[in-house]
Formats: sequence, C-alpha cells, structure tokens
Amino acid sequence: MGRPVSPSARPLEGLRVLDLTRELRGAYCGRLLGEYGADVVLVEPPGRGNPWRHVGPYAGDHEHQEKSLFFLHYYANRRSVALDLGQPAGRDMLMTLARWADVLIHDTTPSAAAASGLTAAALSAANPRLVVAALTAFGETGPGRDLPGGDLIANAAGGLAALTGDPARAPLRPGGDQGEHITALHAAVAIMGAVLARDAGAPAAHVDVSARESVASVLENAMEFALMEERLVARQNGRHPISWPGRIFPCLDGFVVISCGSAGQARACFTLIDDHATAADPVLEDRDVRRAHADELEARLIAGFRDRPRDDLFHQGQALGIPIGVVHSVESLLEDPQLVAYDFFHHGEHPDVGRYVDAGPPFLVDGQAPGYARAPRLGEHTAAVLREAGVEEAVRQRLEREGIVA
Amino acid sequence: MKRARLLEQIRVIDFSTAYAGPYAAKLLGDLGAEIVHVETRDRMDIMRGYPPYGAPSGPDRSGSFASLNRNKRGITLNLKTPGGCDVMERLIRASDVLVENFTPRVLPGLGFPWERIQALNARLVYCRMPGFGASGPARDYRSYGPTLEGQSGLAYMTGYEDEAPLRMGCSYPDMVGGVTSAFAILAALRRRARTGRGAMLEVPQQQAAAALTGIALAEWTVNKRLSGRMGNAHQWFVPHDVYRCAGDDRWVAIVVRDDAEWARLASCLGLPLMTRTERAERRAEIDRAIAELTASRDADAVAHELRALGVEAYPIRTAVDLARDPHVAARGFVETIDHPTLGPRPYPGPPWQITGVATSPHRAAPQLGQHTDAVLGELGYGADEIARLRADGALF
Repeated sequence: MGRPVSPSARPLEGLRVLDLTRELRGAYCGRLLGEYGADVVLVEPPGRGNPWRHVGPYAGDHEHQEKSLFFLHYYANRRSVALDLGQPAGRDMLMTLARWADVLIHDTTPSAAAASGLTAAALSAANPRLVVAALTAFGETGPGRDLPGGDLIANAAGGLAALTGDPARAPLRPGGDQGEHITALHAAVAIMGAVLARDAGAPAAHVDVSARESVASVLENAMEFALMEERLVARQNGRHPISWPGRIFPCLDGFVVISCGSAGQARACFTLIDDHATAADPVLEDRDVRRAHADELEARLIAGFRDRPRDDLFHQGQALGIPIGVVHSVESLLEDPQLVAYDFFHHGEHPDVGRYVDAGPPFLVDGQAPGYARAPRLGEHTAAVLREAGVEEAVRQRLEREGIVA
Repeated sequence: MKRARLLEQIRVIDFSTAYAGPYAAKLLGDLGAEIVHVETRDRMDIMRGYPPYGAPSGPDRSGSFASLNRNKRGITLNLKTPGGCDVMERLIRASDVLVENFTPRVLPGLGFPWERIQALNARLVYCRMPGFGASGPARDYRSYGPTLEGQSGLAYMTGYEDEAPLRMGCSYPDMVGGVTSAFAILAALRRRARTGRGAMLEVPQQQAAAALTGIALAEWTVNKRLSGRMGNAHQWFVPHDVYRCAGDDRWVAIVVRDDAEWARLASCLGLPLMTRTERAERRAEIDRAIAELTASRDADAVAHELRALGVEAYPIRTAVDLARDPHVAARGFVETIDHPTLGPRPYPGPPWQITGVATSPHRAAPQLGQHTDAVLGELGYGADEIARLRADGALF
C-alpha cells in the first residue's frame, strides 16, 4: 500500500541552495530542503571534503571518505562541488555560485565566516536577492556569538540536557543529535519565510538561527516556569513533570511508554493489568494527587506489565483508550505496521556503501512522498553545477589543473 | 520587536489544541502571519489547564497557553451548530492556511472532509497532523508526545550507558510535529505562489519524529550493529561527555573531535598524545582524568579555560540559568508582553533573528473568545447576525 513518489510532492523545486555547512544542524537543514525538491549544492574542499566524511562509524568499519554513515545520512538529497575556498580563485567561484543561488546556508561562527570572506556585505554585493542563513551554536549577535559547538554543547547551553536524566546523576544528552535537528527544522521555517517574502518583492533577509535558542524553544514549559515564576523544572528521570503516568515501563519483551492526560486514562492503566481496586481508587481522580502517589502506583503497574508482551499491552491499552506506545528499537521500528503501511523507509543504494535503509520523509504532500537521492561522492557534480552557473568549460578545466576545483 | 513581518498577507486558521498544532501556528505568527485560533467553550484548548499559572483562576491564567498562542487572535465556535459551520465555511474561504491536530475522523465528522475544504477554497493549504496517520492500521490510535518518543525510535536511543531507555526532558515529538508542519506549510505556500494550487499536507507525527533517528537505521542495515544507549558518549568523538564541577548540580560539557584538539586537552590532563582509536580504548580512564580536573572547579571557569585552548566546552545550563543569561538577554530572545489577566511577563523565542525586514512587537495571547466579534465582523457578519449566532449557541 506504499505511497506514490511524485514531483508534485517536491514543493521547493527550482529553489537553489548553496550549502557551506560543516555541522549536523546545517547538514540536516540541507537534507530537508533537498528532500522537498530544492537543488542543494554542497561546497567541499578538494581532497578531504566535508569534515563528516571523516567521522565514523563507517560502512564495514572501513575508514574511507565515501563510507561515513554520518555523511551518508546527513548529506543525502544534494549535489557536491569540490572547490578550494582557501584560494582567491576559489572564493571568486563561490561568488559566481552565490549569484546562481537563491539561498546560502552555513553554520560557522561570525568570526570564522568573516575570515573566509563570507560576509553579509560580500554576499549581498554578489547577489542582492540571496537569502543568507547562518545556523550557529549561539547566534550571530551577543557576547557569546563566536563560541563553537555541536549537539552536546547545544543541549548543554539550551537547557535540555539539564532536564533529561536522573536528578542524582549527570544531565543527559538525548540520543541522536536532536539539538542539531531541532535547530535545522527551525532554520528551515525561517528560511522559507524569507524566501516567500523575497519572492513577493521584499528585500532578501539575513536569517540568524541559534542552536541554543532552538533547544531552549522546545523545553515544553520549563522556560515559561523559569521566566514567569523563576521556578526550576528539575530532571525527572524519565517521568513527565505534570502528567501521570508519564514514563517508560519494562515489559516481557521490551518496553512500553504511557502518557495519561486524564483520570479516565489513568484508571484504564489499572484496568489493563486487572487491578480493578486501584482503577476505582479516588486517589486517581486528581492529576497532582496521582503524581504525589507516583511511587506506590507505579510499583503496581511495573508488576502488572512485567510478564506481558509489548504488543499485547499496546493494542489492549489502546482499546481501553490509554495513550500507550511501544518503545521501538531500530529493528522493530523497521517492522512497525503503521510505518510499513506508509512505505516510510527509503531503501537506498550507494556505490561505495551498498544497500542501506534511511529514514523517510516527515510529511506527505497531496498524499504523495517526495523521493530521495543518496549522498554525493566528493565533487561528483562539480562539472554539471559549474556549467549551470554559467562557467565556461575552458575555465573549469583551467581551475581543475590549478587544483581550485575537482 | 522580534515578530518579523515576512508573511503579512497570510491568514491562518489554527484549529488545533495542546502543543503540536499551536506551536506550528505560533511559528507562522512569529513570521508575521495573521492567526485565528479556534476553540469551543466546552472543549477549549487543553493547554489552558496547564501551569505555570499566572492568575487566580479561569481559562486565561495559563502561562503555557499564553506562550504558545501569543500573536494569535482567538474565537469560539461550535461546529455542531449550522451557524458555527457557516462561520467555519467563511473562515476557510477567507484564509490561506488551515492547521489542525485532531485524530483523522474529527474534522470530517464535523462536516469538513478534505473534499469539501478544497471545494470551498482551492488555494487553501490544509495541514493535518495526526499522531500516526490519516490511514494505516494505527490511524485511530491515541498518541501524545511522550508515546511518540517510543513509537519513533527516539526513546530507545536515549538513556545512560547500557541501562533502560529514558524519556527526554520534554515531549519532543510534539515540538517536532509543530516545527515540521510550519515548514511543510511554508513549502506548500511557495508551490501555491507558482501554481495557484493549495495543498493537502499530512504530517504524521510518528513519521516526523522517526525522520530524526539520524544514523541509527544506516548503522543497523549496513553494519548490523545497534549503537544502543551511550549516555553522553558519542559514536566517534572521544572524549564527549558531561563532567561534574563545584557547586550544586553544576556540570560542564566537553567535546574533542580530532587529534589536534586532544593534544591541547591532553596537555592540561597530563595525558599523552593518543589517536582516536587509542582514546576510544582508554575512554574510562580519560573521563576519570577530566572529572578529577573539573570536580573542584567552577564550571564557567573550566569551560572558559578549555575554550581558550581551542577545546569545545560549555557549562550545563538550566532554564532558570537561561532566564538570567546575559548573552540570551543581549540577543533579545526573551520579550516582555503585557497580557490582560497575566500582566506583563517575559516570553521566550523565536530562536531566530531576521534582519532586513520590518518587525513589530509580539502581541499577547487571546483570552477565550476575545476576538470572536472582530473576526466575524471581518468575515462580513453584522452585529445583529453575530447576536443571533450567539443566541443560537453557534459561538459557544
């Protein structure tokens, strides 16, 4: 019952994005814009290429710049141009590409960007209609603007690590680079706002997105507690700070997760384990009272779930109206009946990696999926992109001999 | 001050509740779109019942609601009445975007299936964000942000090394669904500007979150290996962790990405030069050495010294720290907005600065039904008609 892949599900077709990213936030932003049809061109240094080509794990544990799984995932849906920005002729070529592009994304600090000639003034002089977006760790203004950082720093500085994990132990980074992802998503929103306004006749805007503030924007309501009441929401060791029950429970063959918003849902959790006495207990009526008795109540649920299969708890719990989910491992995620019914996963093939599975699209357009392109080899599209940007073949060949492009 | 007026001509119907839908509309409002948040009095936005509470009682006391719904106007509408449906029809005709996050049966059940919405306004971008999907075996199952952490594979990746999976400190899939939907809507508006056609966007929140599983799927399908839970450790970078400092619950995050950075950190630790592979083998020893260095020191001082050496380091900040942070203040991330019942209070976000466009101050969130008369007036209803609709219960 898979979804058809269709060009009409690529609403960004015709949008040209020049991608100078070196961090996962910029990389994911380019992947997303490319997924929905933008022509995203990654500029990498000849020879070594983008830094993520040199970060493992590698396919088959073979350290090779075309086999990094980080590069494979984060740099999908784009083309690659190998161009040496360390040389004046390379920087001139970058300005030629800036004239070709609608959007330029980068993720370096303001001082590093200026040192490489990537100033707002220079880019705007090359192309006044270019939307420039900088996805930096701390934003491009303020005293901390030149501090570097990737995912761990974004989660540390943005308040999410302090909220995740056990209050008696170290703050915890959520798995899988979520600080970078949420920054990329917010940046994609701001970039599209700027593109729409520019297309409607407004001046091209400069978009400055802070990874730290992107993380701080998704703390549920911890920022509101802090700002409005100067109250600290502490780490809850995986429990929801307000809803109860709101946590992961072990079961026979894995884990389930429950998040109840109402007394009825909380009662149903005890019906699910045939504890009808607790299900009828008035202690469950009020959210704050439930949470005050969390330890004893959860002990009963833990005992009741322990010997039950995960999928039985999921389906029977849903039938009782409980917001319950299974905690998928990667293996079981691939077999999730809902995701399989949507044909969610991309089945990719890369000449140096072989066959692999990648995450699918986050949304459908008119019921259709947008398609997928594997990550490029270093410089795979240099000649084609330079031709489209109006560079004569003889000029490209000369630059290639001089080692400026590859 | 920070509301970038990029989308001034765009009108959005926010027919959503709780977090994901309202956050999508909030971001569009931060970019300058005009948002009308539609509620019904007997089923008002559930966020109105969530703390922090800034006023003694009533639906207009929630700080969480006020934050998620600033810049919006609010109306109350009962779609179970013919008059309420008539207002909804006119709203759909007059708008560019409709965003909703109910289960797939709700809007069709109220008389507004996609076919009818499209017939009313072929230019409308309709964004639905069901938990699991508008079709498929789980379409009618319930979900909240925390349950989708499990269903998407994200919860399995979070936790201390070799221990059970843990929920993140926020209901992350809610926010992910919201930001993803805002992006989807803007992308569809770009297509509309070129083709004149609206769109039906479906953002299954499980899929929006599963899209963020990073390299886990490739690791499993290529190398037949599950990274599993690693605490704060990284698949490749060593060291990469959070270390205790002096004070109550004070910590510093430290990351070394390559041999050159290690050489600089190693000099402080009195440890030798090591390759990445050697560092990975001796990770426990390295982490102990760093923890010894930081344990009695101030987190800010350690971070400052390491950064001066060219090592990525930053203290762990809480939301309360952020509220007092001079850099955050200098960026203008926090803005004080006066609200009729909550009074003047500081609000966070958005996480961007956009230069070169006109901006205006953020407006306070609507009190329940505050703009019903004004919005209906703009839709062409006279005062008599509004009074009749109210008497009929259509505006309840």
